[in-house]
Amino acid sequence: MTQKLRQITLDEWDGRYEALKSAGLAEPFYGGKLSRHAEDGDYRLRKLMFDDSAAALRLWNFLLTEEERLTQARSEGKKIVGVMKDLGTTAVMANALDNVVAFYPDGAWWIPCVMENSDRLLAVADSLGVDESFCPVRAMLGAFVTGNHFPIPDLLTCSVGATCDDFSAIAQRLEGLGHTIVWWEIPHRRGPEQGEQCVTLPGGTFVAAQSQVDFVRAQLVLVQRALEEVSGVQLDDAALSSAIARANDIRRLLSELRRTVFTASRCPMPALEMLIAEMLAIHYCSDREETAAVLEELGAEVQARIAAGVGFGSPDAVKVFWVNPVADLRVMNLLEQYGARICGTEYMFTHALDLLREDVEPLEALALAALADPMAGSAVDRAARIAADARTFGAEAVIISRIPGASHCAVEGRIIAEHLRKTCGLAVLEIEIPPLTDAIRPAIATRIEALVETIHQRRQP
Amino acid sequence: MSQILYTCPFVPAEWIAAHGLRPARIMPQSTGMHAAVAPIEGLCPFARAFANHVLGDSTSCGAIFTTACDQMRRVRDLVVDGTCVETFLLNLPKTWRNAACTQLYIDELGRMGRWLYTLGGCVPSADALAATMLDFDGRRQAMPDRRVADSGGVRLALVGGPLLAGESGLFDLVVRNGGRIVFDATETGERTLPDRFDPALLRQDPVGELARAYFDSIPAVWKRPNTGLFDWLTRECTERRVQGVICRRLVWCDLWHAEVHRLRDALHVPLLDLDVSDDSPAAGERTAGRVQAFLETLQ
Repeated sequence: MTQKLRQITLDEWDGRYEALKSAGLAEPFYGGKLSRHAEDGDYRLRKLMFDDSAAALRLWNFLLTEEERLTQARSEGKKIVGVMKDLGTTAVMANALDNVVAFYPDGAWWIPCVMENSDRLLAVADSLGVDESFCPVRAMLGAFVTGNHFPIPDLLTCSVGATCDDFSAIAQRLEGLGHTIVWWEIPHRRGPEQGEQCVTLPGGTFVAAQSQVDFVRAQLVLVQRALEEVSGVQLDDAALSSAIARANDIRRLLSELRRTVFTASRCPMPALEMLIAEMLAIHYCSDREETAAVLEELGAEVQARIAAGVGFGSPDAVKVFWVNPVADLRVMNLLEQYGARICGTEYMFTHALDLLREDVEPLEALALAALADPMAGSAVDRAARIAADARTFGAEAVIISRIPGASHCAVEGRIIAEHLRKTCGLAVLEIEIPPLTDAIRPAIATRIEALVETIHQRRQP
Repeated sequence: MSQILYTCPFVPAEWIAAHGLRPARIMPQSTGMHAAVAPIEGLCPFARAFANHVLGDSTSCGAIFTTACDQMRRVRDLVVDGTCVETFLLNLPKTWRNAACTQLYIDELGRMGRWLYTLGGCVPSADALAATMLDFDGRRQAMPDRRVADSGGVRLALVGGPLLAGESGLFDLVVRNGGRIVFDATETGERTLPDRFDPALLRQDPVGELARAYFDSIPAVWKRPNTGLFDWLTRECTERRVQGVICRRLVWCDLWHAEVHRLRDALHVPLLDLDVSDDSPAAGERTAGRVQAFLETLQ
């Protein structure tokens, strides 16, 4: 009989923190009680359930102190680069420069959830005519206007082309407000025509025409030049290759963590902490070395729990593959409370998790990664990747969380669901998740419960 | 002659015609609850209407979708398995201030040409293409110039995305209420007409000239940056002494929705933000009421 671990509340974390400190917990510079973040306005933390390990404490503290790191970097004279939309490619380039720190302003989309709308970023976006018919990423517009959540970057880049209209439209509004943007293009990914050279992209599922890779590579040169200009430093192939190698170090750590957690017989790390861990891969939360340390500690915790035969939830928890990031983090708790666990994810940035190629020119490797963005191709393409990963992790069902207002969510859920039912026989559920789900929590719970029951019935001989 | 359906103004009709096929630019009717592609929360009514038009067509041999907006790019995914009509997705670059993007557009025209060939089209010679382009250019120039007549009424500009077939009554509605649309800057209006072809450039490089007249010249809300659209609208509103603007946008069209505030600031005339869900009678009544009130305030 294995021992069941229990998630704890924020209040419980204070007691747990004291116990850990008494036991000799050594913390990094951003350490401290989690409750201090709630006192500073991150009110959602009070409604979440957390993993109680020191590794999880470090993870949360690292995530919630990014603004301080960015401010510190600016005070040290470093250049702040806001890399928008591509999720994982240009950040690698920017981090090749020692005097540059890159972050994704896109991440502001979680602020309305984390601060439970107390900072009124959505209201600011409303006042600019960007209302709730847009994806919650409209909070980014509010964050730029208020200037309260990150330093205004010295350089802004944004990928467009095969991206959602919400983001493209909001980024254009940003430029209209006076924030100059270096736009670069990722075309809709397509397969090669007859006789055209074909390339398999990182992750192994998607292919593209070599001509598209060449095009994106040339676009990345525009980003490279912009980075050189803002930093005053030449961004050469050696620096880029080194940055790619270090990015791969992070991706390997995360890949191993995901594989271990998703395939363990009993869940050794909750869905919420795993979601946060995955997000670190996109831009390292503005500190690559610390990201590595955080992931290593999480990995060690997971290994120790597996060795000890302990885990969360029931051993027969339903294995769910989750598609799209949730606007409300609390939903990840809800899934587990109703007898399911996460065994596989596709949070729209698998291309930030797949290893970058180190056997080709660095810009070529980055172009290949950019084109591997699951959102850059057709929904059928995306579904094929989800199907492959769901098989790898042994998922029994798929939940697609719709993002309210997002242009891609109108039709892709139906296409992905049909593909998965047809090719894998998986049960699929689509749920819309707004930034705060409290009012509809019972409805979401009922749907998850129904899915769990369905899977249990399917298991019966 | 086999017909090719399309709706995006960045698809050059001359290019299809030069391949020996008949270009058919569709202004689709909005479709009801029971159409193949049913109404879905978040789905653009125009993209849905075009998808249903293609799915209901059994006589055309091909349909061209473009990546001008995410909705149209994605709605093609709903169509590919349900129709006998072959589909093609034309990749339109969103950025435009570097030569590589114009070249991508040219390359995409080449890819489209090869697709047209597979549908029974021919490969046009440069001379044949140039002749077709001149023919289409001439026909466009023969269209009536709305700048000439001045029949009174409040001078309005109509700005926004593509109109559905059932919305053509909007022009008469404006007239009935004491106004006049002096220029149509919707996706289906004069804003999206290509530039005139330069005869000298046409002789040297007809495909390049096609790209210049279409991709480089047509102002669009989805281009990044979209300064070209604002420059064009500002200039035209001034030249045509516009007194008010109707920004007619379809619900779930983020691209136009996001720009309404900027249009208000940039055009310096009263603006009616007219959101439209479809071209049904009920939606028409709401539109009529809003247009009537807008014009009353301007008189």
